[in-house]
Amino acid sequence: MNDSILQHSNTPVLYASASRWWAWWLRLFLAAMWLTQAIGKLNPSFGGIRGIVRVMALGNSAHPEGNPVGFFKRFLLDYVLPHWQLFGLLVTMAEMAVGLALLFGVATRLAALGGIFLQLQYAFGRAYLEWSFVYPAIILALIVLVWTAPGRVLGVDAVLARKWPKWPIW
Amino acid sequence: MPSLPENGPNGRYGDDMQDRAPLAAFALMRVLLGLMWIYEGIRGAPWSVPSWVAGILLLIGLFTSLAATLGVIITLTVLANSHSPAAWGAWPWIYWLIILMQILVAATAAGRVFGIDSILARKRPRWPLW
Repeated sequence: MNDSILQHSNTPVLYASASRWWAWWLRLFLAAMWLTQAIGKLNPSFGGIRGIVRVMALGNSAHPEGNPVGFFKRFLLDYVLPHWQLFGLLVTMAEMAVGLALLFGVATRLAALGGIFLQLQYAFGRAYLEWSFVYPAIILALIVLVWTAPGRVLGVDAVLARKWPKWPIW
Repeated sequence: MPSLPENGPNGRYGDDMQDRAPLAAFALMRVLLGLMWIYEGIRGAPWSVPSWVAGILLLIGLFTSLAATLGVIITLTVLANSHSPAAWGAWPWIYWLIILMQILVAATAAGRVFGIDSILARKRPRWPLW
């Protein structure tokens, strides 16, 4: 049994290791999460990210001292806030791309790395406002996706990995 | 017709070396969840006593499936009280993510990788606690 798995470790579905099957659930959950966040930002009732960025930089009534991460606070105030519409569009598109890639299992590892990059931005901006494990939990879940490559189970990556088995992005 | 991967000689995933490498990812998840519950115990949340129990068991990988199940129950309790200041905020996705992570830790028997369960499972391979 071990030999057959080793021999076919890049082939899809039936030979995929058990951990990939479990990580597949995580992949679908995170896809739903990213897509929900992105679609929420496209809703006309969404107030735009200007207010969110302002709170990320300057804090709220519970945290009037503002963002303790100095370089990120300056980045938010000097670059993001003056161009909040552009950054809002970029964030929404990035979230949509990560969500769709995870949903269909296309370049899953790359998508998960993109998700980690986005989450790090949110963590720098909002971690001081929230429960301490929000961002570590999401980032760790994405690390598990990078580690286990669950796009090779019921995903387009299964086909891609057969053609280009050495590429590390699926 | 190729067959699905079989369970290892001890009847659970993670028993053979082929499964063990990627299962280390779930062991890492187990450790983070353990630290999370210990943090909940330290900060004195209303659910701190079961948090300590779940946290220590998950951290050292002892009775992992049982500890993860306890973690799911505590998380559901926190979710039911998500309006409380001691809860984790109003964003529901984080509660469901933590629940899913604990289910995965239990399902993959993550204590058998870098955990005390690996010793126990050698003696009593069929017990569902690890």
